[in-house]
Amino acid sequence: MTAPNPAVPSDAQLVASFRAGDERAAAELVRRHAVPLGRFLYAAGAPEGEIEDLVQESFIRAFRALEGWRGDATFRSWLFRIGSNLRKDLYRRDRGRTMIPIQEVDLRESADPAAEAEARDAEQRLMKGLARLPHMQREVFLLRAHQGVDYEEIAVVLGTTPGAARVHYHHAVRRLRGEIA
Amino acid sequence: MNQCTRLSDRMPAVARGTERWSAAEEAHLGACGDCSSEWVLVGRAAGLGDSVVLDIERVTGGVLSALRLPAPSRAAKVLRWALPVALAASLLLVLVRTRWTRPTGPAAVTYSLLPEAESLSDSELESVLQLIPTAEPNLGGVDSLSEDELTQIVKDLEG
Repeated sequence: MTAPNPAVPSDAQLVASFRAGDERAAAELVRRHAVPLGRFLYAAGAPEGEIEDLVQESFIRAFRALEGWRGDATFRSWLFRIGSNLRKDLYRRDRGRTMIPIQEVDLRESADPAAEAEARDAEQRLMKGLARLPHMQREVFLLRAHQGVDYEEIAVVLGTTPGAARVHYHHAVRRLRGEIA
Repeated sequence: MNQCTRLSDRMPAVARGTERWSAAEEAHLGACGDCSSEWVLVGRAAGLGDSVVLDIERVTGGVLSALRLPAPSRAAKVLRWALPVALAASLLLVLVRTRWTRPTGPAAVTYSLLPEAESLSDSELESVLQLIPTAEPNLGGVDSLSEDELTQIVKDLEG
């Protein structure tokens, strides 16, 4: 693990600066976390064309609700939770419209079209498997496998216990193994 | 904690490239079917969304512009869902009162003849009813009425 660089303000420091009126601190937080949040939302099944708007709205809601962030989870995990809830609302609004992004790619440009097609097929199978998981299992699995968040923090973000988070993760792994086999 | 759990706990960090497998761990991965399939899964999951491209400057600009505007007040947020609910409840109440509780036929005529009774409580109505001489229902008596008498009673009821 790398030691924090004192020259680079932590997320908590940036949040404090923003609350004190420094708009640049908010901009820095967006630059820091927008792409990981976009990737997370994609993995959770958000349509690719809506990810940018979802990311933007997640930040707006997060900044407007900063008094709700108590610092027991990282700003990033808390932000991801907000984004995940927004994605869920979008899914409800669209009543089950397929949320698995299908990407059109020109395989002729690929160095190894067969390998790329196989990788894309594996990704699609994984995405379909993720979409079929119960909500809690999907959230835990993605926070753990996709974002590398530890069980203690997952428990704080999702309002559960580390032990329960671990169980959800293993249930998700067991179900997903069948999808990619 | 057994070897499989230890490896499982380290998989996300190795998949993200912040840690590496030791030789012993690699040997275990090669021999343990559960661990190797989980490792494939975590590796694929870690790469999901790598192709996502965001216009960070656009997102930042959008966020800052929105934050410069006054946030919607709590009252406005509550009104956004409370108003339609209140309207729907009022409509339902009106429907219930007009469609299901309004008496029809002769009872309605009697009811409209005594508008004062509407404001009485149950106990007050009870007292009023006790003052009215009891007219025992006598269906046999109705049968004995002539056509003209029945027509007159109906006319009286209808006002």
